[in-house]
Amino acid sequence: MKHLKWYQRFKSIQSSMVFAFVFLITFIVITSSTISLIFARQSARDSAVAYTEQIIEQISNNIEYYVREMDNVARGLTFSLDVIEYFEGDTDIGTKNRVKLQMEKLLTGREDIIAASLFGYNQDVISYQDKELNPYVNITDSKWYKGAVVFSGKPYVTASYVQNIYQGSYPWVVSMSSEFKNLEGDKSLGVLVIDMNYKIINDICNKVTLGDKGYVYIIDGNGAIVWHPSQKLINTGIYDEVVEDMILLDDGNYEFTQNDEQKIYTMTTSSLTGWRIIGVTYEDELVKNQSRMALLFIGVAAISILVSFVISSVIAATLSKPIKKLRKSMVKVQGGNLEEVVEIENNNEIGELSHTFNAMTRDIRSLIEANNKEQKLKRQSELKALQAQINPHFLYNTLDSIIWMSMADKKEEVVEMTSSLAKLFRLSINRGKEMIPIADEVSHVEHYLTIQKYRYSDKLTYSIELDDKLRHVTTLKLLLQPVVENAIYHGLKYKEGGGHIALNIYQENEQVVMKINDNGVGMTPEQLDNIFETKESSKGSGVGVLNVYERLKLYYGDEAGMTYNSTLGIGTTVTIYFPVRMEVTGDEA
Amino acid sequence: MKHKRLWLAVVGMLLVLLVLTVTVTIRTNNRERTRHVVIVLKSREYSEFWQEVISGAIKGTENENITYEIVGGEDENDVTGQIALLNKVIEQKPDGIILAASDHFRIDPITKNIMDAGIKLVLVDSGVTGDNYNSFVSTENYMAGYKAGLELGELMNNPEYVVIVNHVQGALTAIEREQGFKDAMKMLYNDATIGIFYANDKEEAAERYVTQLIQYGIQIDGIVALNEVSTIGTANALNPYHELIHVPFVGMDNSIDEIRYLEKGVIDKLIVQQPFYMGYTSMGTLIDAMKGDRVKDKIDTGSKVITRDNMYDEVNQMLLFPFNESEGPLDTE
Repeated sequence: MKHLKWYQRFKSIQSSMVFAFVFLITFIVITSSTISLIFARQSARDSAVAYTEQIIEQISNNIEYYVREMDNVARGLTFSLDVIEYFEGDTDIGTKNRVKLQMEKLLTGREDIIAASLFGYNQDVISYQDKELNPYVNITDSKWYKGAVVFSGKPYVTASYVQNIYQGSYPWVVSMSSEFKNLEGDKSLGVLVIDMNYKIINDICNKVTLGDKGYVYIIDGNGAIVWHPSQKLINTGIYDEVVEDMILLDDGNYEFTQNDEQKIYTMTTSSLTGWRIIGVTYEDELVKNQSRMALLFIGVAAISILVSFVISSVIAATLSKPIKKLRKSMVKVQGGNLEEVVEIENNNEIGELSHTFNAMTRDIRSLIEANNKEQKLKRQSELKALQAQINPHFLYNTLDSIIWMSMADKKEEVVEMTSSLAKLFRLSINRGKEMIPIADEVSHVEHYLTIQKYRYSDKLTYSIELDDKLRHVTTLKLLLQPVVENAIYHGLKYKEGGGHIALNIYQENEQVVMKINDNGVGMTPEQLDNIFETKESSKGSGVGVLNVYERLKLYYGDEAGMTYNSTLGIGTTVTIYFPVRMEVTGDEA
Repeated sequence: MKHKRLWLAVVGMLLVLLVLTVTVTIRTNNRERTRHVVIVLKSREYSEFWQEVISGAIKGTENENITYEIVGGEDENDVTGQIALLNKVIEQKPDGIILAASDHFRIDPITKNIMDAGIKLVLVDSGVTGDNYNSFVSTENYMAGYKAGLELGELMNNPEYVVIVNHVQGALTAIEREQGFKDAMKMLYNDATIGIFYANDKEEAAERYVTQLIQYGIQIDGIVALNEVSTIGTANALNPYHELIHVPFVGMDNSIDEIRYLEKGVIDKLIVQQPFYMGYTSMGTLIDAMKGDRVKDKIDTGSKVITRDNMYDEVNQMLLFPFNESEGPLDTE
């Protein structure tokens, strides 16, 4: 459970790194794209407007240039002495012919000029190429006539219209008219009208393209349409154009929604003609480029998000890999494997962490080793000390007994006792080995009992039962002797008559059980409770049962133990048990 | 590992979606395919009227993805030629046809073939007897006649005798215009007697007839002529007498001769069709039909009343003196 949780949390570090990277880059890309789009849109609009301004300025210049040229032609007539003379009343046929000649000179070869006429206030008319006048038209009703009178000498330019003053022809023209005066300039003599082919304007305007749908149109100062690509549709009423509004506005850019379409109107006014030249561009054409740009940005955004995802995945994986490794090692160490060493791949924080972890594991390992060594050492020294404790007291007593027996001249007994003592010591020392076969331990205690039997004459009897299977099973040495000694000194010594010690060694399950039974005085419950606390303070042989118990515990741990069972006046039974372990080193002498 | 795959899947899906959106957007931008339209006229010799119809139709293709070609018979009465032409056009399988039928009986079966071939069909000016077409765009002749009646009625005071100079007896346009005029008269002056003369599309016939009426001293309180030829013929007849005794006269259609008579005062009013508008509307309607939109099966492009006073109005002068927008004003000399 804990393992899985850790793993998940670890995983989420990697995921959240990827998420953070992707989120950040997406945010940056989208923000910058949006800002660029807004700027691009603005600049697209600006450049469209700038382009339109240029175009309409060009048209205005072309028209003004043309009108100026016409004005020059007009001046050639209105300031002509012959013209002034003729219309001042000199009705000489020669003067009239000179005027006609002048007209010829100025107008021949100019296909853009359809007609020109001088209308005198004296009702006299001179027409270029002697055109017949339309008898049903009153020229004073004409716009060009009224305009010229109002402008009083300055050139007046009409909007486009059908010229009907000449018999049999109805051409589309733009007329320039001006009133001409006498030399002093105080008397108006008549009106000159020059009809220019409308085709000129048409050609100038028709060539213009503003995007796919954009166009140019011209209105005069009164709001009459001079030129419009869809003029017929406007007349039919199925197409609307912004006309009145434009008259009220100054030059500049305006936005109108018209025929359900957003359009940008750019206007410039020609000062010479009073015409307003208006360029129209469609908003949706700007937007069309815009959407193309947006698509590009989306593509770039998509690619950068993908790339950022891949890169951040790689980065996150690279960063989290050593963490993962470290974690695995930690889990192993937690499970007890102190041999685990984390490989250090780089010198970043994780590398340092791994390094520290390795050092820690190493320290723990050496600490445990040191501790083990110390423990072993301590046990060995203790064991040696304990083994060494046995001897002196018993030796004095035994030697005392031998002396007494020698004095009593009990030769055979002395031999047997001395031999037993010698064997006892040999076994005790036993090349310093801690572990001996049970057979040896038994013969050791038997030698001891032999000696004690002699010392206590016939007051002591004993019996030994050893399961033959156990002969080669190892045991901690000097287990039985201290217990037997204790039984003799504390149990049997005070007993009237003879005492008996029964030794019974057998196997029960996987345990060796040693039972030492005496029929001595027994112990009180209090004594029984304090049995392991007698310690060194007690006299006697010195190696107490406590010693046996401690050694058992030291060597076997919890698997071994020692119990006392005693009834006052009946006897005591000591049980020692420990696991069966075969001798490793083979036979023992 | 599972997490990573999930992430990859999510991002992959995102990408696929994006690519799809981009493709779809680009497709949508270019989806409007080019359509081909054949304009089949009665004659390859375009009168001023048909010139205007054509320029209107061309104007209608502006800002649309349309290619077009214009074909026609030998002359206005070349019905066989137009039939052969139409059969060829059907084989060509254009997306749409604008047709001015040269004969409303004989062309009728062809219109069925056109529709059966899955070609959208808009009839312009002259229709057929059946209804195998998407739309019929024309001047509503009955309304034009009715308008003529109203306009003439304004010029007269309790007339007793009114004369109609019509073109061909039994012709569809003649019948419709005549009926419109009669209905207007009935409404205004129920008691007036109406005489009808068919000039059979001959100026001289109309002129002779009206001249005779005048010379015989027959009382005429008003005259209406219901097409161009009849109007000119009638005006020719009235011209010598008009300063002496003016007969209220309303004509129809638009020509340079009629305009001169209008300026002079022989003709009081002209009921004028709007051919540019007619051409423009027929193309617009055809485009709508080709795009799959529903279109009206009959569209009246209306007529205008032109008088001496309003003929040079900004709006009317363009109708009376049309110019070809790409080539400048037509020289009407």
